[in-house]
This record gives sequence, C-alpha cells and structure tokens, in this order.
Amino acid sequence: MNNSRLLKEWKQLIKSGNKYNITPITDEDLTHWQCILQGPNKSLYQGFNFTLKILIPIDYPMSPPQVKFIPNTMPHPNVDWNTGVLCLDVLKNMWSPIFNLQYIVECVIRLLNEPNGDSPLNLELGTLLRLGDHSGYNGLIKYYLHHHQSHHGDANIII
Amino acid sequence: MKAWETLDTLKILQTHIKKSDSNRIMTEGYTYDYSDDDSADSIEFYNSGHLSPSTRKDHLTKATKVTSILSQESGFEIDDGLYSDNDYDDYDQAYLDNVLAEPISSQEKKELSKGTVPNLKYECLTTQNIFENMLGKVNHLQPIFNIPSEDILILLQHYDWNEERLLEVWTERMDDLLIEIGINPNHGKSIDKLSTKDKINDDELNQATGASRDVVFKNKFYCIICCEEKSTETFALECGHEYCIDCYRHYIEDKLHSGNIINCMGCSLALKNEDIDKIMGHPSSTKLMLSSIKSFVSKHNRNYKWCPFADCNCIIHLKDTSSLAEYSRLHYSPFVKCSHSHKFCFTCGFEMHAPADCNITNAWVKKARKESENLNWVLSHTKECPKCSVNIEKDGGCNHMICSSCKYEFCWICEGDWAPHGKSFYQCTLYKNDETNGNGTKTEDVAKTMKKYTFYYRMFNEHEVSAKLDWKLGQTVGNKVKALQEKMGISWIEGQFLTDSIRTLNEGRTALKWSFAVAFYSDSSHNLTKIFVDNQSLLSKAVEDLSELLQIKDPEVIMAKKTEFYNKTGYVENRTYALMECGRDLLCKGICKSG
Repeated sequence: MNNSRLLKEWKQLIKSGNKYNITPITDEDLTHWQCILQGPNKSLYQGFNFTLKILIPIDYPMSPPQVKFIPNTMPHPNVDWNTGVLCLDVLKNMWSPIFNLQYIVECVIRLLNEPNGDSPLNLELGTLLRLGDHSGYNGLIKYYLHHHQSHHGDANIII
Repeated sequence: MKAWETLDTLKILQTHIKKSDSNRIMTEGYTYDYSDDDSADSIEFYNSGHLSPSTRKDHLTKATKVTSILSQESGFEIDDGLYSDNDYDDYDQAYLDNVLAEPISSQEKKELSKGTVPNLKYECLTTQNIFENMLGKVNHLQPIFNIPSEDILILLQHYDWNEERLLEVWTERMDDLLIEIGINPNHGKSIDKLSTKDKINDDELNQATGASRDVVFKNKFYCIICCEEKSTETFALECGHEYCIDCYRHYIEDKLHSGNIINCMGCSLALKNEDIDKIMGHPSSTKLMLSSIKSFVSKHNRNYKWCPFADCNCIIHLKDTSSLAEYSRLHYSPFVKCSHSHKFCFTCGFEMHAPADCNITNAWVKKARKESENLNWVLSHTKECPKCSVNIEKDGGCNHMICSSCKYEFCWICEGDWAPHGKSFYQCTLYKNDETNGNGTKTEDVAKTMKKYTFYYRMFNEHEVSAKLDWKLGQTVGNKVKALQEKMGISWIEGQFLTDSIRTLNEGRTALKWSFAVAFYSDSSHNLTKIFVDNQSLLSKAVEDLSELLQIKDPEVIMAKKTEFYNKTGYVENRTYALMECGRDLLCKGICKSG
C-alpha cells in the first residue's frame, strides 16, 4: 500500500475544492472512501444524490480501486441494482496507474450520462435501452428513483 | 557404462541425421528454419536486442532435442517419403545402418497398415516452439511491412498471431493501425497524433528532453504514480511520460501474465520487448511472449491441445481436423502421443481409452463419479490370504498371488484358487449373470444393475491399480536393462525387448481396463458381446502371464527366457488389437450404447 500517493491525492482534492465530495470515511484509514454524487444536470438523475463507495486495494495504484453504489439506489443499465456493482472499463482492463480517484468519479458521472446497453448489469433497463423504448426506459428509471430514493438534496447516506 | 556411452552417441547421431528432416516438419508453411545456412534473418532478429545470441543457441538445442525424440518414438507420424537422398548425403553409411537397425514395434506397423482411417498428421510442440514459429512469421512479414521486426511482433501479438488478419488490416489502414496499436511510426519525431489517456496529469508531466526508451538516473525525481520524490532510475518512451523504475516494474510485473501488449501508463504507446527487458533488468519479455502464446493455444483449442498429463508442457498441434469426424463415425479415437510418450485422445483429452470411444468413456467416467458418491468404495490395496488370513499387500501388477506365509496360490480379483485360472480361461473377467428368475421386482432390478455396475467398476479399478503398479515395474525394468548390459555385456538394442514388453503390457492393461466400460454398456444377451467377453478373458490371461514374466529379477534368467518374452509380448499385442477391433465392432453395430 502506497500511503504517500493516497495522502497526496487527498491533499490535492482539498486544495482543488473537492467538487465531487470524495472523502475518506475516517481520517485514519485511507483505504475506504465515499463520494456523494449529485445526479448530473439535464439527466434523469438530476436532483438526486447517490453515495459511491470506494475501496482501495492493497496494491493501488497498480490495481484499480473497487467502486460501487450503495445497493438498491442506482437504476442504471450498467449498475447491478441489488449489489450496486458497476461495469466500467477503466476500473477493469483499461485501468492505468496514472488514473486517480477524481478521474474515476468523473468516469462514473460520464457513465451516468452515457449508458451502454450492450453490457448491462441491469437487464430490464439494458433491454429497454437496446430496443430504443425511451419512454419505457425513462419511466422505469423514474419509478426506481422515486420509490427508493429520497428527493431533492436529502443525501441518502447510509453508514 | 560403455554401453550407455554408445547409446548416447547413437542418439546424437540420430538427432543429426533426422534434424534436417524434422526441420521440414516444423517449418511447413513457415519460412523459419533452424539450419544455419539460410537463417541470416533470424540471427539478425535475435541480435536486434530481443534475445541474446546465447539464448538462441539454447533454444536451438532444445528444439533439436524435442524433434529427435519425436522422430525416435513416433515412426508413424513421419512419412517415409520425406527421407530424400539429400538428407543422407552428409553422413556416413555406417551411421545410417545404425539408424535403420532401430526396431520398429509391430504395434506401430499395425497402426500404419490399418488404413481404414487416415493417419493423423500432428506435431508435438512446446510454447517455445510455437513462439519460434511466430518469429518465422515475423521474418516472413518483415520485407512486406518494412518496419522493425520488434514492431511486427507487437502487431502479431495484438492480432492473436493471426498473420492473415494482420495483413488484411495492414493493407487497409497501415498508418492508423500503427497509431492504434501504439507503435510510433516516426520514432520519436511526432507524438501529437498519439491519444493521451487523460489530461489531468499533464501539468505534472515531465516532458522528457531526448530521454526516450532508456533507463536514466535522476537525482531528484518526482514520480506521479507513487507520489514520492527520490533519487531513482526512470524510464520514459518517446511520449515523455516518465515514471520511476519501481513503479514501472510493478506495473509490468502485473501485466506479464496476461499476454497482452503493455502500454505506457500515460498514453497508448506500446512498450517493446527490448524496453521491457531494459526496465526489468532481465529478459522478462519472454514471459510475456509465452503467456501470449498460451492464450493463443487456448483460443485455438480446435487444433491445439495441451497434453493432459500432470506437469507435461507439450502441445499437440493437429493441422487438419477434417478426419476427426471420420474417426468418431467409425468409433475410432484419435490418440496422439506427445514427446514425453504420453498418449491421449485428441477429441476428449482423456487417456488412451480404446476399445471404448469418447461417448462411452464420458458416460463411464460420469457414472463412476456419480456412483462413488452413493457407494462407499472400499477397494483397499490389501487383502487377507483366503487360507491363512495374513494381510497381503499387492506390490506388483500380476494378479497371480502366492501367499508368502502359507504359499497358497490364489487370484487377487476373485480370491479363489489360482489353479483353474492358469489352465483354462481366466474366469475372473466373466460376470456371472444370475438369471435364475426372469420376473424380478423393480427393486431387485435396481439392485441387479447396481451389482452389475459394481462388478464392472471393480474390474476397471483393479486394472487401473495394476496399470499403476506396472508403471512402477517399468522403472525397475530400466534398471534391469542396465544390469543386463553390465553383467552380460549385451548391447542396448538387445536389451530393448524388456522395454518393449513393459510398454505392451501397459497398453494391454489400459485396453483391458476400458473394455469393462464397453462391456458394461453392451447388451449382454448379444452373441457379439459374448465374443467380446471371451476376447477380454484371453487378453486378461495374456497380460497376467506377461506381467508375471516381468517380475523376474535375475538378468541371466531374463536372457535365457528372451524368446518367451518375445512370444508373450507379441501375443499380448495381438490380443489387445483383437479386443479393440471387437469393441469397435460392438460400437459400430450399436450393441454397445451409452444412452
């Protein structure tokens, strides 16, 4: 475990204003992080907050961090609804040690805006997306969001 | 010891004589050649930094060793037609005579003369051999591509060593391809075309000044991967993404097993093999190449099969798989032999399972796995002597037991008196179908099938254990041959009959073992099944006799009984062949079905 790298990333995050709220869960332990993600503007997720859990592996930055949403909070074709696990190439085979936590969070936000129907973890949403059933797709996401998430800024923090 | 020396020289001579021949087999379709006269290209390639000349020499010796074993042991895969006069010209006639004197076992003759299915043409390779073939492809492509060989290697690696696909893409979009794969076409002159992975760290990027593709020492270097400032060696490609050597080593070490191209951590520029070796400080790129070849083999599992034997690294390459369908239609199995003499079925990857075909084998193995969960198989290696109840451990392959305390002679399988076994048929292979009452209830039927299965499984198991013990016996045979040579002063060739016997014995046992799987699935009322069972008995008897003969330890007795060895070995061979053919007949006529 390379602590100076994580420490440096933490300092850099504070210095740059930390716009994605990426914070370690406790100050002593830099291996468990959490990020309160605001649903991107003009997306179906606008107005909702999502908690992203980040686990740093022992050989970080040679191995990518493990990133997942809190289970049953994120309706998205590339996110497993029940476990919160997400499918993102930069977190798997495309990972490079040069990437940092902020970049990963940016990638997750990009994924929220650009869902990929070809490798779905949420099969219903993936199918709707592939079939081009936009109203069905949007409707299902809205249904999920309104029934499982608190509205407007009430950050859904589960510790 | 003199005899061993002659043996070694003989082997070396054989290697020499067959070398040019085997080369041709290895290189069919490729331009790569081991012979020194026309391999200027390959030498150039090795000298270009990928492998040192000394390693090349090692590979050569290794390759010739493998091919020599090939040509020695598997006469059936090398066509006689390949021996042209030119191959012999350089060698003395005397050496040639030695080679020709090498006995061809009648088993192999039989395989040649069978003729009903085409002989399989295959080659036994190692990952190293395949890699050398790939280097041959590289040399082949080099004049067409006109870029450094190392770059072609990376391109081939990217396209899973598929020459045709690479050529296709190459002709379509040459320049784009080079950029896409991360090979800088202008060698450091332009890097703006390269897609940088991300811009976030650009401000910290050490725009290297001329330091490219070399390990350099820096006094105060800040590495953005580990975030440490230290005096360290660093490495950077033309792109200028410079990182400390420790981080680079970690990064490469993790990727060596994948077999994929390793890129710069900051952009898509590819690390060449020489870069990898430079960073790691030792030739690690061979590890990467071999992992890449391994994934190639796994992806092409229709033509390439790993030898299933433990710790064996051989790969069997069957170029033409079209005859496999014919094999399975006629209930033959495509058995192949690797250069370590491991025989296995190319279709199902199981050991030699004749007379059973792949379907029967599969059904039998599955059933055995299932039944062993239901039944508690207590098939121990020790039994009590039926007469004096002393515990006896079976340490040899023969089923003819003589109790060491009371000298009672009995059969290991049925624990009955040996006397009737020796004279008439070997009774133990006959499953006595107690068909006293035709109208049994259902539970009785189930019990009967179970009993039948238990019997056949027991027989199968007994022969498996015996075969394993025979294998141990085979190792002592080696010592016996040596003892013969030392004591009696006989030549290696003359002592060969013992090794032949043990091989034949093993083949006979294996056939016998699998014949019980065939017998289990056969319709026992059919006449042909009865003939099959008779054949089983005959082989059983022959195998036991031969096994007994091989227990002799005194070299002088062995030499005295040489003709007996020949006769019994020949008999086992014939019986094995007859049993296999009979079993195949059962399968072809549909009397034996796994369903």
